[in-house]
Amino acid sequence: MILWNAELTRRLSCSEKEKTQLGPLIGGLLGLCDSAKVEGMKSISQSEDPNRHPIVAYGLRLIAEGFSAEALEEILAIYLATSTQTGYEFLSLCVRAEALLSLAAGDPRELLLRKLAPYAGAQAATSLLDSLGPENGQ
Amino acid sequence: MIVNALCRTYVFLHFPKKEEAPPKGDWQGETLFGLGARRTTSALEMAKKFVSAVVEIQKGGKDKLPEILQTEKKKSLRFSLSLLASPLPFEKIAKAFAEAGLTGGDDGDEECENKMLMTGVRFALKNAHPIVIMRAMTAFLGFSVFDAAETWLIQRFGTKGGEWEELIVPGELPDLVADLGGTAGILSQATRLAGPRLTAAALAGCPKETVEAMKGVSSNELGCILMDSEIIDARTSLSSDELADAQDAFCALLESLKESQHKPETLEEEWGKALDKNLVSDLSELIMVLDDKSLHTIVMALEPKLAAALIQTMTSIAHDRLLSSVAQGRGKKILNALEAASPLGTIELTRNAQIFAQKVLSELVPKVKSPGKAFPLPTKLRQLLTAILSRE
Repeated sequence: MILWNAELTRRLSCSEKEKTQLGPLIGGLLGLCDSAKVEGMKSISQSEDPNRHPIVAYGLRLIAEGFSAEALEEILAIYLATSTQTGYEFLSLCVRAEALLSLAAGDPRELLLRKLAPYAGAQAATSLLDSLGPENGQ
Repeated sequence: MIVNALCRTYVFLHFPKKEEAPPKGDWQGETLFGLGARRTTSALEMAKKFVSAVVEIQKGGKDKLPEILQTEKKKSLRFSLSLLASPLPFEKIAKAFAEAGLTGGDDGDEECENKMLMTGVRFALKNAHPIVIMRAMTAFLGFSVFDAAETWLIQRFGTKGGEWEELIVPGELPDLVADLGGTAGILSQATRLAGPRLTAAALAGCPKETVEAMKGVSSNELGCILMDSEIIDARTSLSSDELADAQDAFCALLESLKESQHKPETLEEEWGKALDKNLVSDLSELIMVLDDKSLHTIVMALEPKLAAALIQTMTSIAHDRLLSSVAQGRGKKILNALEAASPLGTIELTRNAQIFAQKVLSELVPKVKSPGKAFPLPTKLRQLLTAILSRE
């Protein structure tokens, strides 16, 4: 079941045009999943990538701290709820947090993609599943 | 799902509606409370005090509480710790804070500290490890205190290795971990799939080298402290049989991950990889750019077997358009042919695509040609047809 909150919905709202930017972002997060599969979580949490978004960099360190899925979800939700972002910026933070939770759960690439694609909207999700799915991914 | 967790956080903490324009650009961890450096340091110190008190209570039992409360001067902190004395349902924590006049004030600094304490109480009542409590409380202060919190937690909870004795429960995990030593990804993924409790229970009966090998690929310094703590808990709360069961379950998980990594590809997967992606893209685009009438005429004239063969070389959106361009009966015949077809090789797929391209060309070009004049085809269509027909 997906819960609903009016204030949260307001913060998440953004245009369809803005949502198209999620494609490359999701592609990058799938790359992170591929790296984790090869290198292990400790290694990727310690690698310094200047292009890595702060929530991803700190989130990976939280995963390497080995919290339960429930605790990690609550902690990331606090970071997001207290953030100053709204609109597309907030939506992209949520996508990154969802990817972190999926990585922490050890999800395979295909499942991660299926969890992230719906954030782009129903129609765009289908194209994302086609373009980033197993046929076209790594 | 993060959206559900956010909804619960909004309900539990009653976040105010934020009306002012948000700052643009990448978020670096600023919070809506906008605490200055001094208040941030003060809130961090309060979190340390709360967590230290929780540790005292966890070690010495609730009898320790009156002594701690007596020495604590800050009202909100004293109140929060007093809530740990009784098993308060989570949903009543916010109400208790509100009744004590500790929420809903105009002071943003105090509001932040009170929400930190409410969260601390919530995690402490769930018997979370103090490291988890500290991370949850300091999340309200943004990333600026992340490193400072980590340094304090390592100082406060770090142990010098060798503080616990080995307990060997017979099982295959030590050998399996040693075999998989070079595959950090598999070992790390297994710990994440199993979760901290099962991983700790599985490792509780293993030699130190095995525990260190697992921690070495999956945990950072704080993670190692937390894992050691979970292992000690597992040894005290689980029987040898339960530890052996956990080890067996973890071995089964590792074996399945190992197998899935080395699993030979199915014929379908091999075929998918051999597929010419440019041909798929060109043919799919050709289907998508054709007008409805021309597509209908061309597909109606195709042998169902050829249409089925073409479907093997296009994206799902193009499949849908091709099938919806013809009547239901015709579509069914194509689907039946598709079901009966076996995967074709690259050469046959290319040849079929070229036959289709020729049919498109003959449908679109004028029946009576004017000498010396180019076919009036749109540029995109011309490019796609050329790309398909010029393949060898």
